Amino acid sequence: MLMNKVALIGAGMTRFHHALHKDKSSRELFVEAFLECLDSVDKGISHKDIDALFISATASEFFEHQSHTACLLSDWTGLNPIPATRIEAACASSSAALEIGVFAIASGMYDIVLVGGVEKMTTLEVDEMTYALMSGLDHPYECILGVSNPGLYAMMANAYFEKYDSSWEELTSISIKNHHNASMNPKAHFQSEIMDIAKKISQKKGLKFDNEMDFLKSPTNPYIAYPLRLFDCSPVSDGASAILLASSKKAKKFTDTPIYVTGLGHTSGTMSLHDRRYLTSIPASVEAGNIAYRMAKIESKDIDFAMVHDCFTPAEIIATEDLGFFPRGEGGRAAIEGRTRINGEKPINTDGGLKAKGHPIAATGTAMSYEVWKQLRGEADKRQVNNAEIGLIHNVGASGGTAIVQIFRR
Amino acid sequence: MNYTNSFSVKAFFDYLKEKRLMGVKCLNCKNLMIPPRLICTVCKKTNLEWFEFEGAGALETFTILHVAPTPLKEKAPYILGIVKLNEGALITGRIIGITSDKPEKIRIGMSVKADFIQESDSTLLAFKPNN
Repeated sequence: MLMNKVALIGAGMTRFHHALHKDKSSRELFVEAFLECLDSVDKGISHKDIDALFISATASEFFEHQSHTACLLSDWTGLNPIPATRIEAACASSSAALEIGVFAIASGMYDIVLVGGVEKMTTLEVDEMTYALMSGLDHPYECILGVSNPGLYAMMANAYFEKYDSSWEELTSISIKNHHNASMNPKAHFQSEIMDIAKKISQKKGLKFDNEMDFLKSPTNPYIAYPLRLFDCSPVSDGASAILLASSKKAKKFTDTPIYVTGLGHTSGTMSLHDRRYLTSIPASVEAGNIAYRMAKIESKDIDFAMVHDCFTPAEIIATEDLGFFPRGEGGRAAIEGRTRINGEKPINTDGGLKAKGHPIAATGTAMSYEVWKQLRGEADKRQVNNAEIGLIHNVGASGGTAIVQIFRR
Repeated sequence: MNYTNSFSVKAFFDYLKEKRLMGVKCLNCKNLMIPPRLICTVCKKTNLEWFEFEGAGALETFTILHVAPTPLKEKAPYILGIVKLNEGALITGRIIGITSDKPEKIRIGMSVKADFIQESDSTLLAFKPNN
């Protein structure tokens, strides 16, 4: 239990993109997110109000040969000499940073804390990037064999298909929906429907696609790790996100619409996928969800909308089952039926998800809370969920060695 | 109490070189673990001994890796799988003896047995169809 209530009072993020930030490094990306975050504080805030920084950069040693990122970003944001600490939990790094920021305030130590994440990924070629991100897997027992992140989720997908007698076609409902949502998100990497992308490619290459499935099944959508194809995978993006947290006592000084953190669930699972009894669920997600629900004193049915960790399309289906939104084996069917669309009964990844919004690794967790912040304040424009009162984020590290679930409330 | 023992990553790979698939058995609760560990995953005791796995099992799941990391760029596409060994534990390995261009030939549940492949400087665990 938290000793003191903690609220979000500001949020900012860069657009996630592979080319737009070509000439920027981590520091410029994070400063951009930070400046928007400062600007988003309704009644204004200044540097001197911020007491501490918890920041994530998952693999900056590989991407930019840069460690000591906490100091770097504290320096470049102009926040020196506040304490700055880097938090790393693979793809779940910045939601872990947000959690630590909440603890730091709830303990009474600080009043205002900045949390966030940044990843500059496009410095490496695809094979090098794949290898860099494999550092989040079990090196001797997975990496050496050549298991990649898409490879792990591909193995979960095949186990899932076998168990529930479903197929790859089910996964396309996730990518089609998430591209649709991202088409309404000015921060998203891809701001176009899959069919629009298909049309562009067909014009360029003199091909013809009758519909989305025709395109997604074509060699234009090649295999990355069978059965996963390119459009089953989140893209490689550069980006940063930042959130300002405040004690509930101080929050009202900065905004009349604070967003409260009401549930925190954080668990660790086995490092290797093969150490799980079942491969069709991420046990750490189930446990993190249950802990967060218990703390928020709600059940999964009370969640109005959620951002879940769809690094690969099967991950969204498994997540919506692990979090209790749909029964086992029915997550894919629910997506096909439109139940997870923005106007559905359980809107999932209204911002386009990792799949279409992009997944600059350490920026992802706090970018999920950025969307929750927008939704709960009624500022999500065309992607606004009606009567959004309670939002959830679900952020997973690698194949499920880390799972974080956070619940926010207006 | 002695806090050091031999159940290391290096020992696992040294055994692989000898074509032996070694894990550990917990002397307290009989739990079998592969790769070897220092603390039992079930009862958390440290009273363990080496246990040799037969190497036979069934394919639990698989993938065909098309976009490979730098060190394996020239190897792609290659097949990976998680195998449920007959003794009960699961382990990841490369799948050999099946061509990667026919995924429909790879069946979850198919019987496989351990093989040991040499790649650059190390011996890797692989499984091939058991027929």
